[in-house]
Amino acid sequence: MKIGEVFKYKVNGRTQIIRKEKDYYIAHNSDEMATFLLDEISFQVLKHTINNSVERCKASLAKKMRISLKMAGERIKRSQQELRASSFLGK
Amino acid sequence: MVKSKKKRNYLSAPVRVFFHLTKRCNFKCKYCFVDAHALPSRDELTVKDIKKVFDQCQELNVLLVKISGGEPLIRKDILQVISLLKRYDFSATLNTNGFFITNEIAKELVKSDIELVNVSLDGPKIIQEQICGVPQSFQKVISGIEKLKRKNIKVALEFVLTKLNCSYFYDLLSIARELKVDLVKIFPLSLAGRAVDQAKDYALSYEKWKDFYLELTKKKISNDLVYKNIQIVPFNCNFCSWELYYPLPAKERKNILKKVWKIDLEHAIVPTGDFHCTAAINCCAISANGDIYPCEQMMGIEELKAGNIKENDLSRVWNGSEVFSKLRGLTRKNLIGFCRNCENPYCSGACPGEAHFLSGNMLVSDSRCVRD
Repeated sequence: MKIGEVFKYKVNGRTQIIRKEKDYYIAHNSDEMATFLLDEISFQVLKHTINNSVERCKASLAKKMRISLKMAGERIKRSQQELRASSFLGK
Repeated sequence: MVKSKKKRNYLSAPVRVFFHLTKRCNFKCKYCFVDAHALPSRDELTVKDIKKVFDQCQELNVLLVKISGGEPLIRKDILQVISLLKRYDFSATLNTNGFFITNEIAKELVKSDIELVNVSLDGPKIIQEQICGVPQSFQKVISGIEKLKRKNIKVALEFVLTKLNCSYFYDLLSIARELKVDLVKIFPLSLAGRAVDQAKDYALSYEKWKDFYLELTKKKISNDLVYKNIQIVPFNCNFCSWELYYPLPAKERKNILKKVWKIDLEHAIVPTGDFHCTAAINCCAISANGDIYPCEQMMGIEELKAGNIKENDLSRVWNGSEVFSKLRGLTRKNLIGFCRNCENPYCSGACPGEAHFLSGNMLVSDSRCVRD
């Protein structure tokens, strides 16, 4: 993706936007009323989780990073926690 | 303004755009940072102009439009404006004093998928009506909030903390619990607009703030609150502002900030020791007459006006405005006074907009900080 380009997806009928920036992706989650920063892996994890099941995401990540399914699962979990920890600009 | 060749990283487009639909308001809060008033306004944007702003936000891939004022619901065409929102992908929030909320408005807000409605409420009846200067308004505001909650709309109560109402905060929490609102936000008083001349009467001293903050923190830790979802929102946008940093004991600071206030100093999202103001970095603002500013807190400062939405394209202003460019060139070294060399690397001092309103210079250090 180019800087400024967006990836859009729907949650409960509501459009969510993830925008590519120079060093990261930026997303606003209206359910959590917060804005998040995502690194490349977190973005890929999120994108896969939306489009596929978590199992397929694990498989895809394990293949891409040449790690075990278990490690991929842990990485996904960590990414999701990091996404929450990076919440900012919530006001 | 100081010139600098090195620019701070700014985003490809604003994350959020503050959009004031009017400067009119039926309330007369003495410390209104927008200096809103009841007088008719001739230069307010039309629905057509407002649609143009929304179109441009969509085109820029803005993530969040924060609709505010004045009191936006005072506009006779407000239903038309709200109904426009459902066409766009960005999220939208609405700031209101709650007085004009009807079932019809609540219904339209649901249709437009509003993310959150922020309702100003500065205390229980006795104190709220004293502050806003409108008798019998409290019940109307409460009734407005109830209408929103009946439609399952997320509501936050916004509490501007002053000398007048700090002792009523825990009463407000009882109201928040009763109304089942989703969030309570505490705003330390912003010394802009009408508040500049009222600072002496309303702004808390550092010691009073410290007492309030420490008591609240203690109650949060011991789970001794009737309502728990509370945020403190200093106006200065620092990653960890002096208001939240210095009152805490140094040894426990990191832990308390992370556990109680969800501020993780180990994962600061801006380079520590940098200039933290996010104006023209991740946000911008459009005033009721269409003037474009780097931030809501800078509205009305003539030298920080970067254009007008009727004549200028928001994208061009974001990418080409000289005002925006100069702000992006500011660093902590440009600050005047003690903030420049402060030991708290997570704060770069006062909100520049506020500093400008107070002293005429947006780089002046925050005189309320204990490090002064």
